[in-house]
Amino acid sequence: MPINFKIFVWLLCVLPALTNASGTKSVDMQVQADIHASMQMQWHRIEVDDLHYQQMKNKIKLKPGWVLLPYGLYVELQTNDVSRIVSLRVNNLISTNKIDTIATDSIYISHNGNALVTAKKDLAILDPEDRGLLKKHVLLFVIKTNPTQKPGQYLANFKFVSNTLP
Amino acid sequence: MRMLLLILLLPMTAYAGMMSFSVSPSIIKYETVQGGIKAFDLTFINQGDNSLKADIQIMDFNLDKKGVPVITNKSNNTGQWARFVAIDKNNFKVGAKQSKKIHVTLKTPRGKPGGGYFAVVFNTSAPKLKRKSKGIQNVMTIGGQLPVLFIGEISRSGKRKVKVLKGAVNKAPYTKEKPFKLRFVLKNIGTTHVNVTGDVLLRHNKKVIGRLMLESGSGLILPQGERYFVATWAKSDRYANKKIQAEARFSYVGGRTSKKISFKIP
Amino acid sequence: MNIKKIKTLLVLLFISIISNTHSAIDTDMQEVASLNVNAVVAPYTTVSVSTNELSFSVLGTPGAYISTDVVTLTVDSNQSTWSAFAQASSLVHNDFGVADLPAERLSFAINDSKQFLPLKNNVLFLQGVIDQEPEPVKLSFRLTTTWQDTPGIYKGKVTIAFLNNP
Repeated sequence: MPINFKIFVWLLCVLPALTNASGTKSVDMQVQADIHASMQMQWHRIEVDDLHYQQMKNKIKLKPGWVLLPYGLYVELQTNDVSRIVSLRVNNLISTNKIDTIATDSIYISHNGNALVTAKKDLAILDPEDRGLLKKHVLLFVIKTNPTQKPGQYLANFKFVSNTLP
Repeated sequence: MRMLLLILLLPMTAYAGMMSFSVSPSIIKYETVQGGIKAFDLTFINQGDNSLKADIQIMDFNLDKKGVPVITNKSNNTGQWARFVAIDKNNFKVGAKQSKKIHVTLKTPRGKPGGGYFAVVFNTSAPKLKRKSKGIQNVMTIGGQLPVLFIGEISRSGKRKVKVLKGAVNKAPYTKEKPFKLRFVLKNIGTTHVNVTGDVLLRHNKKVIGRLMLESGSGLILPQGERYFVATWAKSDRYANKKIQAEARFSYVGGRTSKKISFKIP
Repeated sequence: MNIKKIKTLLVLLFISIISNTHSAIDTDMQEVASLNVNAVVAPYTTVSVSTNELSFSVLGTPGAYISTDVVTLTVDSNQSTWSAFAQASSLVHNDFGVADLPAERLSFAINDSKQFLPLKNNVLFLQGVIDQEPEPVKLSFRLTTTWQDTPGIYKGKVTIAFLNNP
């Protein structure tokens, strides 16, 4: 019997067994991930000798009677939310004896060295376009003084207002 | 008046901080029936490494012309349902990486067809630290605020109607940074909220020269509210000194409206 | 021959046949008929998994999240050697147009190992031999998220494939 024919016959007999031997099986596992909206804010006070304070202070043009406070805020914000906006709200300053106030229409904010804006309205510091980005902000505060304001120590309250656009 | 000493941010306590929190869901849209009771669960999640204190308020909610929520004190205004809402807790503390559930109940009013809106507002702050001395009073406090918006409607009772108040273009000169823009203001004169979409057809000598989509986020307008719809036209320089007619067309569930304006490109 | 004689001859012949047959059975088992018997021991591989669903609940800020679903995998095979591979698909968001979470964000660890292997391509993680007693293996899965990931539900699958080597 020619050798080729022998091999052919052998293969015919063996091949089904080989196929069985090299068979593959697999198991599929369905995966589901539920990612929630998330936001992170971090801040610290900066003082006159802070580099950030000095850099931004040099960009502010103060009019006579306007006082730049010797402290500011450094803020970092980040969110994964597609329609989140975050604003800074400054409330009236209240004296420590709880009697006197300095209204927000006398308070101005320098945001990253930009032109002063009134603290009467919320200052937007994070827009939907900023999604995923780590946003850094240096906020300095200026008081437009007037004779009705009483000297003393005042309590400041800031709020980060987070909104989702419906 | 430099005599005025304003010591706002004294080097006392807690001037570095971190907050990381979220509330789920952040917007709830629902339908209800007159006189019915509707209940919702909200989950407040403290994602940070420090514990948080939260105070909850029920407040009125509107949208400004850019669609940004405006939260105000509870009122008796039409369509504001904050006064019909109760929550199971007004404040709580939540530890780091923990969550808290808040149960919200709405008693849908009778005789007030249409839409109803309110916000459950979470005001967060760091828990108060024990002060070593009572003399240390002057501190800066920082908190967070996160509203959950409730947008509801009494089923099949609302009237949907929108009208275009005005349309205008921005002033020249037009550059890459400050391109030509058309802006329309729409007002919802119905009794329930609508989502509006729109586009604007540009014509010169009765021939259509462009079609622009009007952008307005979701296009949601609450009853008696107004909203901007804006389109940018990058090819305005090709039509310098030409008179252009713009027809803005808007559509929403149950209706359509439109407005035509003319202008000349300088 | 008369009928009587024919009958006698037939009886004798019959008796002869019977006795010969009996002899064949009793003594030398002379081959009268033969049956070919084939006993086929089929190759097999059995795979069992404790669950075919994996879920991740990313409530906090982006980072690495280990699923609470631990998969116990048991493989038994009478093949010479076998190999187990793991592969993941990208996780697709429920909403159209949102970027997927790429497959390499998923990784897994075996038993109590602290080392997580990314599931980007087919990853060989287990091998067995014919005489091996089947031992369950625990698989833990980890998902890594970033601030750029849009919140929502993502779905995909992890495939565990088994290859019997001839």
